[in-house]
Amino acid sequence: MFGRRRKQEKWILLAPAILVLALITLIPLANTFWLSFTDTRISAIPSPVRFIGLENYIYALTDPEFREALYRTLYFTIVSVGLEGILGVAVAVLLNQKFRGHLILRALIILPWAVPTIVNAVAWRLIYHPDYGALNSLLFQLGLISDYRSWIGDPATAMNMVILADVWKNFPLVAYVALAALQTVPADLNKAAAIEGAGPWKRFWSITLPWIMGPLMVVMVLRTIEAFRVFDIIYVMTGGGPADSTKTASFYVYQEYFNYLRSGSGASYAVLVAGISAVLILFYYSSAKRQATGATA
Amino acid sequence: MPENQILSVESLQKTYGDVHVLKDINVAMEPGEFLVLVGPSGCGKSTLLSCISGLTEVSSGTIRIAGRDCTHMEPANRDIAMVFQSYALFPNMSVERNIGFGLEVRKVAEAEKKAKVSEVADLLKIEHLLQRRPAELSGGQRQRVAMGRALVRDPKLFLFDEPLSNLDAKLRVTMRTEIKRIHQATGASIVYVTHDQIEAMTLATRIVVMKDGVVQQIGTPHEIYNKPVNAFVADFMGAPSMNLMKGKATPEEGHIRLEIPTPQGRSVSLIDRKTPSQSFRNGPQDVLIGLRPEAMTDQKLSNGSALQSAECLLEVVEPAGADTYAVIHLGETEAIARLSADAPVQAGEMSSITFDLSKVSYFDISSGNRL
Repeated sequence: MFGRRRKQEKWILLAPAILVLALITLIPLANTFWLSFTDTRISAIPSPVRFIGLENYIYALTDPEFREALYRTLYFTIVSVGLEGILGVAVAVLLNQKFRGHLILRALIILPWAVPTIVNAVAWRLIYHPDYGALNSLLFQLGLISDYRSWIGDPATAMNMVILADVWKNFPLVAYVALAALQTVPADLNKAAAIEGAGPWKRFWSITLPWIMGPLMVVMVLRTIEAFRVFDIIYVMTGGGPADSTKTASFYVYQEYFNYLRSGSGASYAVLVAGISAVLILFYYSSAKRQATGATA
Repeated sequence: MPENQILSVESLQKTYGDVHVLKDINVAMEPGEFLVLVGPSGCGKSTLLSCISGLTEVSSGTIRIAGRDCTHMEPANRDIAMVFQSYALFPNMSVERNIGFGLEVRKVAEAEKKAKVSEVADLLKIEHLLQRRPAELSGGQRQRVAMGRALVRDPKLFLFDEPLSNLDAKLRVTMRTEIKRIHQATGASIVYVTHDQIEAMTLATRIVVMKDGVVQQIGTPHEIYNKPVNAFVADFMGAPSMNLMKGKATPEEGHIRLEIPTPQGRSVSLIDRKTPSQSFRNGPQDVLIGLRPEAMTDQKLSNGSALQSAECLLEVVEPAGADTYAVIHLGETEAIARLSADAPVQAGEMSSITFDLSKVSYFDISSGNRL
């Protein structure tokens, strides 16, 4: 009697959240999934929707441009998340030291992350500007370049420049999580390791890094998922160009959907990108779980 | 400075800003000694250990380990090992790797490392735990692993920082015995910090009693217990602690007469025949009379002439199993007498208490120093 009422109560309480979730996530997701098996197009004149089975998927998987976009996305993800991880942990280790003004620095370091992605992208586009960009000016004055360059107008450098802007914005998040984790490392562990003869490097690799691995993995997973879906920074900075050199998978989906208005085929790309993300998450999840079993004291 | 000293601390000072934590510490130790630093919290004993380990920089003075000046040496180079109160086991490593960590850092060959780890594991009876992680161990097992990590490198000097404080009372007694056994088996030189005076008494070959950053007394447990240099040491060491009763000592022919006032308005009068009357050549003097609870009893003790009896009012009676403690108001303090377990006594009654004056100590009332 009581148990049944409790059960009903549970569903009543959950209902608003489920409803919102259904409206903004589940229904569009199901709709996208359905669309991916059709030849739907966005057009002013409604045309009959035809179920075409796996045709979109076969096309997507054999489309060399989409494959290249995937490789680009992978490159972007690995390099930017990798750099964010290394830079984030390094900065966290520095900020974890006690020096004059360390509290102020800790507060300041979060600023790049607090800036909206679009603002960050616009700022970096200005920094990279071929005529009056700060980067050109800095490198020129240092004598490292002899002429101003178009950093994001050159297919050879554009992707790395976008990555730099992305790293700048996102490494503080990693640094913050790492710093919080570093503050929980018991001082005795490092003392014990020092007495056992371990130098700073050995202590970092054997004691500190394993200790902060759990929280670090969480933020790295989040960053990987975000990086794999990268869209806004590319949309603002390069629009996928020049010569498709920064056209990532999400951007490709966007174009298929909203530029070429092939929503059926675009949906199949989107499902594929989501699928790859899911695999990445699973991979991280299992390795984080393995780490966690070792790192809990 | 004798060459064979394993540790010598000379004129050691440590200050943090205006706070003077260690004041002119001088301690020396022979190989194989079990030196216990004991004192109330904040007395500087852990700071002293930390200075010896090199984890804390000294302000001035010298620290020598096995004859080498280590004052400004890195901890890793001092040839020491340390056991922490928190055990400080590396959570991401197996027990085996924890114990072998120091050898791993020193790039000892795998086979030799394995042999040494297994030897130590055998000594500590933890062979079956080698593949486990610290999180899977009980407190006592972690303690053993921490000791294993210290023992495996066979260092010149072992430092123990309150190693038993995180264990429950029963396990603490077991591990105390274990530590003593290991000390006897290995002949290791150990500096051991504790706030627990029973640990100090049971483990030490010599005890260093500290208070407010100053060494109060260094001596064997027997010396510390029977001849405390001041009222602080007398009070701190022993449980229950020494009774320090205000009274008057009057030198008379060949003996000293003691008068200890009671709240009932009369005095307990005792004769001390052991202490020479010249000790109080300035005539009658107000002193603190120090007697251990076991020197105030209902039993017929065997050292004849030192025994005195007096009728005392028992205010509280506390049976403690093996003994019964009775609180007696004597010399403006609550003195504790240790009676036999089956003593037919009741709170609120007068009872005859036997005082054993062969072990009496006298302390100056104002300075607290031994007279």
